[in-house]
Amino acid sequence: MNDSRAPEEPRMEGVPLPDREPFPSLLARVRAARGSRADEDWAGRVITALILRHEATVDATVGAIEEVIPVLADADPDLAAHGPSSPQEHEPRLTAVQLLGEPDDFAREQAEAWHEAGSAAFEDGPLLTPRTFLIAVPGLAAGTSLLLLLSQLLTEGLQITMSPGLLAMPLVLALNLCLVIALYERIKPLLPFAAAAAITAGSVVGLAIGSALLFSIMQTPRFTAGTGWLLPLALGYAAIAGALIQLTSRRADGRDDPDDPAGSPAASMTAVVSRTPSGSTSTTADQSLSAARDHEWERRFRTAARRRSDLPERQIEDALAEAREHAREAWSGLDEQFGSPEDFARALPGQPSTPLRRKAMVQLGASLAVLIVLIVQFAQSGWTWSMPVFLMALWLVACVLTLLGSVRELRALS
Amino acid sequence: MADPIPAEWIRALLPAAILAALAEQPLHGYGIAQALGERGLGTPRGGSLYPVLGRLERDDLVTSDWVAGDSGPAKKQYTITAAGRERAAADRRAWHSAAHALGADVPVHATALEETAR
Repeated sequence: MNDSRAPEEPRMEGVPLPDREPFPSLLARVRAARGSRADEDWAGRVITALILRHEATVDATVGAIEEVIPVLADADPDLAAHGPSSPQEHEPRLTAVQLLGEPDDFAREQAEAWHEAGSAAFEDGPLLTPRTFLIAVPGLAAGTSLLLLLSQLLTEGLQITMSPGLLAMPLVLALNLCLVIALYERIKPLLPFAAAAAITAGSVVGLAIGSALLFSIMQTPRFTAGTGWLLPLALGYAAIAGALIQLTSRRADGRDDPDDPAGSPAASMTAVVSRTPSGSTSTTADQSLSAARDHEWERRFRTAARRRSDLPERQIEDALAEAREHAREAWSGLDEQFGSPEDFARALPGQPSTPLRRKAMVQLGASLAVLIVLIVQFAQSGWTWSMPVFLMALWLVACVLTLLGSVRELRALS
Repeated sequence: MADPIPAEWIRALLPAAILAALAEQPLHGYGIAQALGERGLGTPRGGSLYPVLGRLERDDLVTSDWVAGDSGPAKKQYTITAAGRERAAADRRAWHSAAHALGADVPVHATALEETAR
């Protein structure tokens, strides 16, 4: 990594550090390099940016930080000699920011270097694996139960009319949310973003209608009870989520990769091709096999490129058109000229504004949907303020604030 | 006969070599690969060439346009920008410095790159 960047003022406050292994022990080693807490904070911010913003894998992130440790130690050999046994904090001659740059810049440059090298340093699998889905549903249901408790306290007071529908609501909402995320993650690599977003929006509408019908069926029997009884409901869901975390093994946390070349149709096709004796097939058969291999290469490239999120559809199609033309002129197949489609997709330079722009579009859609619900609710209450209208208005404000935050980030990028 | 240029040198020199080739005339991807091959810098495969072209375009050192092909589909043609020419000149100076540091007055492999750059 480049360690000759211009010195800048440190900016270390308010750093949320990753708190799960292997990061605490890694951060302890960073701190031990020359007994500096500021170094540990710097590394924590790099880890946060690499994992959360750039979606780097844990292994790649650990490797990047491990490369930094000797750089910090070499910068202050006297302090490094004190090591972790030194009881007091040391003030390094040059801060980590002065040596290596701002954590966010360091993380961005590291991610760019990985992209340039076509390195498999990024998470490209779905966020919701079967295991995380199983845990996320009761986990989210617990959180939704708490929100339901709060909203019922504000709107109905200490006594509410319970029904099976009300009790099932947190679980149904959590299940819907996880289903929508899982669906989007599965179709995103297969379709252009606009089509994937439209199908996901359609599924949201369909699930909302289905849930509304379910709740209307589950309105009886009704009984009056204390609002506080929603608290054990939240705790129950949380306990289920906790038990599932304990029950499911770490091995089950592995990511499904339906596009793993080893198991993909293309790999099978390559194996078939390699078994074909040379000269035993006709030219027409060769051409059709070559076309089939190119077609499969294109399919795998599109899937890998769409998974990256920072490649707009137009750039993906342009890259494919260029690759086709290059292979045609070179009288060779795409795999001969471009190697693995996944490696080629990883090596293309991305546009950091693309995921932000997409996020802003989704937030705009959500804001409009909440605005419509608010207007309907306001009209139903005779254009007078009520607690449900007030809560919906608060939700709208939250949606608009997050949208503005995304717009600000987009402007900062441009 | 000149010694072959080590593969790792060619990888490192690829952005500079592409700029040098484009300093002569606008070219499409395959044309760039051929131009580099003709000058003894090896013919890069598409998988190495296009990511570098993409980064040069992102850094505003080259621009690209789709132009209709004479007898085939449209081709994406790359043109060097003013900033790209400055970078190519800087690369040439850096190459001379590196050659000088290695103790060579006229390094054998510099000739190919400089010819491409002119």
